[in-house]
Amino acid sequence: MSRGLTVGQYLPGESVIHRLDPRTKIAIVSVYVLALFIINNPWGYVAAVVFAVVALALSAVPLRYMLDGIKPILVLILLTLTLNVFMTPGTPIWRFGRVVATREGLITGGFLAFRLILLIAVTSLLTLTTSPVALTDGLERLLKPFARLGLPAHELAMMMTIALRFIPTLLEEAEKIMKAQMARGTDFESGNLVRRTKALIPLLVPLFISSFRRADELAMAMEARGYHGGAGRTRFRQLRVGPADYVAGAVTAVFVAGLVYLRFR
Amino acid sequence: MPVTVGGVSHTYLEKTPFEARALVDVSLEVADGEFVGIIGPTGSGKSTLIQIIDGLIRPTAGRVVVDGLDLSVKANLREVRRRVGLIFQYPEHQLFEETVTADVAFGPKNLGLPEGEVAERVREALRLVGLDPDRIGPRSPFALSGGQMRRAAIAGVLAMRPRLLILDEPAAGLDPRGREEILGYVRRLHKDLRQTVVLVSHHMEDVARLADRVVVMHRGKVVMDGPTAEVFTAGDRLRELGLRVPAVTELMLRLKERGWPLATDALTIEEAARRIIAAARAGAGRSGPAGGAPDERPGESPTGGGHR
Ligand SMILES: Nc1ncnc2c1ncn2[C@@H]1O[C@H](COP(=O)(O)OP(=O)(O)OP(=O)(O)O)[C@@H](O)[C@H]1O
Ligand SMILES: [Mg+2]
Repeated sequence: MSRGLTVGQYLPGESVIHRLDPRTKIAIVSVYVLALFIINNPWGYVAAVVFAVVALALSAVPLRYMLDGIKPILVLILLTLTLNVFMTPGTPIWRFGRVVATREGLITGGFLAFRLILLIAVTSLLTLTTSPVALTDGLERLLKPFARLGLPAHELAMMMTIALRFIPTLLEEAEKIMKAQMARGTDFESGNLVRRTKALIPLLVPLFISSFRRADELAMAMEARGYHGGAGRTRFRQLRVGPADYVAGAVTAVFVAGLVYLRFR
Repeated sequence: MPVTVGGVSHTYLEKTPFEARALVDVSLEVADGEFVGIIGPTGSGKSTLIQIIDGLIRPTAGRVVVDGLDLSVKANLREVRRRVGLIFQYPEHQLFEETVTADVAFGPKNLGLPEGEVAERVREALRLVGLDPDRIGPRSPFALSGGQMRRAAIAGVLAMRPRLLILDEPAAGLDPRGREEILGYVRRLHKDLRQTVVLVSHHMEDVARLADRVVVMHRGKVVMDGPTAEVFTAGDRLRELGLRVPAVTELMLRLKERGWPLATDALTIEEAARRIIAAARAGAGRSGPAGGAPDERPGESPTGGGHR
């Protein structure tokens, strides 16, 4: 199993956050992400950080995991920051030839980067504390009202469940094939770009073949057990909204109201 | 090719909730030209151990030296992988080229051999596993039967002429005939070319027939390590570990239990038959084998020569 890719990696646990209804969590994260974009002053950011820290503490997820989730987008964050610092007109604070860094740019860029970090942190907290099955279950239920407009909610959710379910399998398989080819003398780690890309062929071809085989087998197994799409399907695991969900919803509502007040007072 | 594994431990996904201790302080020696069988229940760490020997996994603790090369030195890894041939469980999943020939040539090419030599090795390896280089060679590996795919994949490793051949369940999922054939090549490589072999298998009969020495693993530890006959004679111990003894050994153990004056270290049917006949003859002089006291006059036991 390869780690490093935290988004989509569930960390089993028994915390309050883990036990919240997935619909509640998805809704809260969506609201939180939207709310991040109405913040326009430092106090708003303080509130947003406090919210994220409390959620993290309640979830008992080690901070390391959340940071792991941020790592892959670090480049994006730095790029955003740099672009803003040099592209925003305003008071110059540093000059190198024709390139000028401005105070305004630093402030805007800093806030934007901060926003991105919070966004990823809270989203990975969602995937870290919610099993993929629960996640898609919740999503399916949330999308259900749109089914009347022709949105194939169940099929989308089923596709997502299957995709998520097979990420670890695929990684495992990739690792196995990689090792087998390394045992035959492939070097995945050195050489120039062309060489390295070529070295991927012995990995990707078997991986594709086994994915198709797996997909075929899965489709057959599902049909053999009478799967015929979403219509008339009942569920074994019923989603239930409990007191904790109401509390979480209320807290979020207060948080958002606070942000709105800070912005428009 | 000698291998020394000293105090090796390995934990997968260390310091995460998914932590799995696969090996705990494992020490093991493989001598040049030896045929070592590794057995152990599912999850006992066999595959982990052999991948560590090939330098594919870095152990969390301990030292591994293969053919004088220390695996903790990163620069040695490539060389070790050239000298060790590792055949994984279900090796047919690694096939990827357009033709069988090209796929078998992949390994030797990675060794940097000249083309003529590569072509020669490919033909030799294919013949060794019973595939006709002219008939099967130009075909797509994906158009072969499962058993043929398995053989092509094994040929891909043999073509590298490894000095140590490690096989992880090479016959899993094959019919009895395919199993016989594949193990036949391995046996020939060992007997004729003095190939050093490490064979991981759940099939006790195969290990009993082929290996000089057997290593038993349980929960990441080496719990038994000795000559094949000695290990398989310890029937109760193996059963405790959730393993079985080969049918032949089982028969010998049961006969002995019933009072037959037999040595139980027979590993093949022929050996067993010889011992039973000898025991029956010796017993006929008295009141029949079943009547003889089991440990009577051990020095004159007809099977005395069987001890090593
Ligand atoms: N890539 C991996 N990531 C995490 N844990 C692993 C990984 N590979 C093996 N393990 C764990 O390590 C332990 C030993 O596994 P290993 O594959 O070495 O056993 P094995 O003896 O080969 O079993 P089998 O007979 O089923 O092939 C098992 O508990 C397994 O769950
Ligand atoms: Mg294994």
